[in-house]
Amino acid sequence: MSARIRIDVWSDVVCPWCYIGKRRLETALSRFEHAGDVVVRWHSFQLDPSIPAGHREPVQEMLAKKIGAPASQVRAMTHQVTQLADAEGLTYHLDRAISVNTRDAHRLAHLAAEHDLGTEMHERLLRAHLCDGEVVDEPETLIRLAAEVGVPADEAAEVLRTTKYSAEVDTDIRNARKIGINGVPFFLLNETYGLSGAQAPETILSALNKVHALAS
Amino acid sequence: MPEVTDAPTEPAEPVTAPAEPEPAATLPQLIMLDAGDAPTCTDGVCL
Repeated sequence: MSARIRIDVWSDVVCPWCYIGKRRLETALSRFEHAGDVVVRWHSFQLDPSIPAGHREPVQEMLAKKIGAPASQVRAMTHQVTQLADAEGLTYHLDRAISVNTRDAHRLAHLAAEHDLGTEMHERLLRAHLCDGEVVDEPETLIRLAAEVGVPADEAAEVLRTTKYSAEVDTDIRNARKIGINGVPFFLLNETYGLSGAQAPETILSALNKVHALAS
Repeated sequence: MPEVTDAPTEPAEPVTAPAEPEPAATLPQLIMLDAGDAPTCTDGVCL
């Protein structure tokens, strides 16, 4: 009997490297002999939890302020990650991306996970923000995105009307801090082996083989 | 004459800690399997 491998992934739904990392993980899994024994669970991480709820700002303007660089320099820098995303089959439009507080999006991702749709919801939120310029703190948008992946719209609306899944988001973030995660994406294999960042598929595959051998 | 104190005459309400979310399972002793050179987003910056 083959050993199960659990992969816990910490990610934010507005994180360009997380979407690239997700694709690279999928590529690695497509080449992994024991992919059927792998369970992937997505966990919340907020890159900037200090953004006030409801505050919206173009990502490039936000970055320019944050790093103290002119907008032209930020555009050049985001061009690089856009090209790398393109190599993974992802069409980023960071010029249209809007920076928001992602807490509500993460709460919905936890609801989706209860429907066994955590991966699908995370994918949809990443695409909405990074590729489609959607505002991922807008309740109508979030409910629509949830419904698109199969989460009942009434349940999504109920979550957004309340504080449901706040504790789960907090627990994920607290666990990330305890483990020592400072940046995302972060992959934790079988609760012991860590991979930080948007690793190449070969690196992820090598880690999967190693962890599988150790667990067998 | 009995000594006057400012001690409460009724037992104090039991103090309970605020509700905490479900504690996480035992957190791992991490073993990194990468060279630490892959790009990440940190503190809201992903360049």
